[in-house]
Amino acid sequence: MTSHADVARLVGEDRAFQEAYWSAQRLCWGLMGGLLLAALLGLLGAEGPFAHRHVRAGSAQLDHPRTMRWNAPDQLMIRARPAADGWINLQLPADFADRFELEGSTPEAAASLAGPAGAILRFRAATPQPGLIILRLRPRVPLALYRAQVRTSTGSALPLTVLILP
Amino acid sequence: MDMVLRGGSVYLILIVILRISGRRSVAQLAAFDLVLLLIVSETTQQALLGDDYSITNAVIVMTTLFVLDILMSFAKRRWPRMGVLLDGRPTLLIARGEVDARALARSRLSLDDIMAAARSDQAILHPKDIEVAVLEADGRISIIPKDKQT
Repeated sequence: MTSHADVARLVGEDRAFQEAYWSAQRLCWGLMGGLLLAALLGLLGAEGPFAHRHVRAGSAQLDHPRTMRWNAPDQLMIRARPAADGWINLQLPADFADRFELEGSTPEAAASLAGPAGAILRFRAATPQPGLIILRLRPRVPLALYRAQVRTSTGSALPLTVLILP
Repeated sequence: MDMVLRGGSVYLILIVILRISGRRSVAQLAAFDLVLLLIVSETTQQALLGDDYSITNAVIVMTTLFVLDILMSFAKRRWPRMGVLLDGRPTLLIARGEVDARALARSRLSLDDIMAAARSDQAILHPKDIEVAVLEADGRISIIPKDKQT
């Protein structure tokens, strides 16, 4: 009659390895649970209670996703007061175009100007009240932590911090 | 280049997830597992191909997956420990007629799973007739009846 150890040796069981594997497996299940929780909270992009960040600078406000996903469409919502000339100018950072493809805006920009400090989008304001502008973006890079400022014609500098995930 | 990286990333992520999920998900295709695999394959398609549905892209991704698979098999031959990590080792579920309850629980199996294998492979109807039951590295359950033991 073969012993338990003999049977284990014959079938190639390595119980110490198997125990370590089971422990690692349970740990990974915990990590997977954490990943799902982060996704439900919106920390990995798309929707969720913590998916968006709202910042205010002077009379301007910016609502942007904390996390964006590579090649997935997303949007920035900017509420800005027009300057005395009736225009709302948004100055995007110089490296903005390297990281994001600007697919369009609502309303459409009346003009788009290239400058050394970055592109300037010009919107005609209907009233002197702050107007809402939505920029539709698509991240170009698979992984990045992007920090920049979006400047408005009234001098407000809206901080933008976005984590781009693959 | 990004297509090769996409293919490689998805391949590695799937290997890790399948390995973490345990052998049940791979070898014992119950209805739920089949649904799971179908959904996973549909989900990974988008991650693999992105917005590019060209034949060139599909060929690059397929080639990437096959090359990775070939490289993995070479690596497992070259470094056996890697094979153990990727494929696992057999686990004794019943040895000398005694059920290892801890191994069963940790492997997310029940005596019913063992008996199903015993019935189909060895025409065994009762657990007392099993000398050895092994959860193989590929997820199958091997049964050795008592009368075949010396």
